[in-house]
Amino acid sequence: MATDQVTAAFAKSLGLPESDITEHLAYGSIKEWDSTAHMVLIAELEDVFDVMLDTDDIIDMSSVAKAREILRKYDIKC
Amino acid sequence: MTLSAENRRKVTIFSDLSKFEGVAFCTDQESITYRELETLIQSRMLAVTEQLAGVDVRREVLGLCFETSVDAIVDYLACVRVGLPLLLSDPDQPDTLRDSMWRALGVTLTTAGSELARLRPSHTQAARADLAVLMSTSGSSGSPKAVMLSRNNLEANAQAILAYLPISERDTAITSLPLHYSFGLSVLNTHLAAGAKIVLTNLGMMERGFWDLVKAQGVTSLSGVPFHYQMLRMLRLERMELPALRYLTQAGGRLEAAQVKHFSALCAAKGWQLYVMYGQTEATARMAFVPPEAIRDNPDIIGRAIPGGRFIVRDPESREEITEPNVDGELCYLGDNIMLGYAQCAADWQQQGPCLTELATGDLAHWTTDGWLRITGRMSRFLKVRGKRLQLDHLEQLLDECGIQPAYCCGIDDKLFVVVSPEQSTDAKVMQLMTKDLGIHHSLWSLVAVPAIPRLSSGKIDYPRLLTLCLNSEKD
Repeated sequence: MATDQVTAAFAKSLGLPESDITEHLAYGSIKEWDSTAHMVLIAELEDVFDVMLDTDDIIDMSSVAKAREILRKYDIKC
Repeated sequence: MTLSAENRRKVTIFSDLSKFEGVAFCTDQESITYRELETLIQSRMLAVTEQLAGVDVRREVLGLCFETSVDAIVDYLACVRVGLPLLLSDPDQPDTLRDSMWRALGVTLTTAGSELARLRPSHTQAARADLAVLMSTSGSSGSPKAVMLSRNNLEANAQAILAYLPISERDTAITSLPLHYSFGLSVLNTHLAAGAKIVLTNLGMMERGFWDLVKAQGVTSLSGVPFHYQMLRMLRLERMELPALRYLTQAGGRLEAAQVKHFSALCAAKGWQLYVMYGQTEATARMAFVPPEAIRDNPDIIGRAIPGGRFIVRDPESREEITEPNVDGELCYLGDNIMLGYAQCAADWQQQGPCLTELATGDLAHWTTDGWLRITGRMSRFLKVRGKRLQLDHLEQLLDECGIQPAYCCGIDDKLFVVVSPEQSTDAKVMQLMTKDLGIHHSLWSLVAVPAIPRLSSGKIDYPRLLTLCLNSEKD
């Protein structure tokens, strides 16, 4: 299921349990989501969904909800 | 290399900055001219001397959490100008680690808003006459080992950098690096010395706000450690619309040859210049650079000494100089930017010790047949994680203090191994220390269980073999 794949990608990249991955979780709001984790996250999402994200999308992916919104632009159901 | 007449003029960072016309700093909120900056520095100097009236400032050390802000930079410049020794600290370091470092080094004061706050009584002995700044050698792990630098160190290194980097009064840099880190501080110092503009931000390259500032302020150069170049690659820098950009600088660890090739080709296509550089906090910041025109054919060199500096490659055993090419030895450096020495306690910075004349870098290197220098390895027990140095012996000590024993650390840059015996169930404790306390992302380190720790005949840990075991376990 695509929805779980996003949560799972976040949990894996940020090193947090899936229960901590809420839609409002935002870049920089927690220590775990810094630039290193963001790079790992982008690589993970690109890998899981087999896409190559545009620069603007990489730097706009500032929350979990925003990530879903961006991925949907790439015709990914999530 | 001879210095041009322009650059032979003595560089000053810690004197009247109102001689410059333009803007010194801008943030997303405000901008401050050099004249306004000078006024701020002078009033801070006055406030410091008034608050410390009757006190010998040389018997104090001020611990400064070096935020990327006008206030913190004014604190830094004002304290150096009044002769109050400073310890530059990472503002994001956990309090417990900072406290233990400040205690070990005898920090007596810190800043609290616009006031000074006293932490400990003044020392009975004054600092050595030439001490200006203490800088940590070990990123955020809180090892009390600090590098002692003089005003002359800071100004000499800025002067040398200005002699090879094309920084002018019309340039604009951005704080992609923290200021408590020697590379970040050198960007600040060189731009102040040149009267150039610096955009102050805590945003990183992975955030839209950073690039909005780069574009809006017409940033002309970007500086980064290898990690930043990974980000720039992921962001596909080549697609960005950055008409003001003129050059890129890289230091803080070896950039892989493949990355160097990618970025040198990119810079050639864009009409930018790529400066691959080499340095250490022990040398204030910079020791070597590769001239941009040479990087394409030599992606794996550190180039040559900065103007005014000189390298000697020495046999690690005999300490004899090695002059023939392709023979490895310890890279040693001579120049006005060499630190005064290390300090681990107050007595170290109070001792009116001799000045170090030659710095043994701990890196193994050789001369190429073309007369460039190439780094081939490292003698000392540290590695770099995202450009920050991590002392492995100190980390083992921290693990030990957390009750994880025995634990051994080894690794390569950006890949650290914490080795424990298989019967230990220490995952949670190690995770707490590494990820929470030290802030090292879990992709950058691994916990490896090794049943039999390889040892040398002397009984000492055989770290090279341990590293091979760890690297092999990664592959499985």
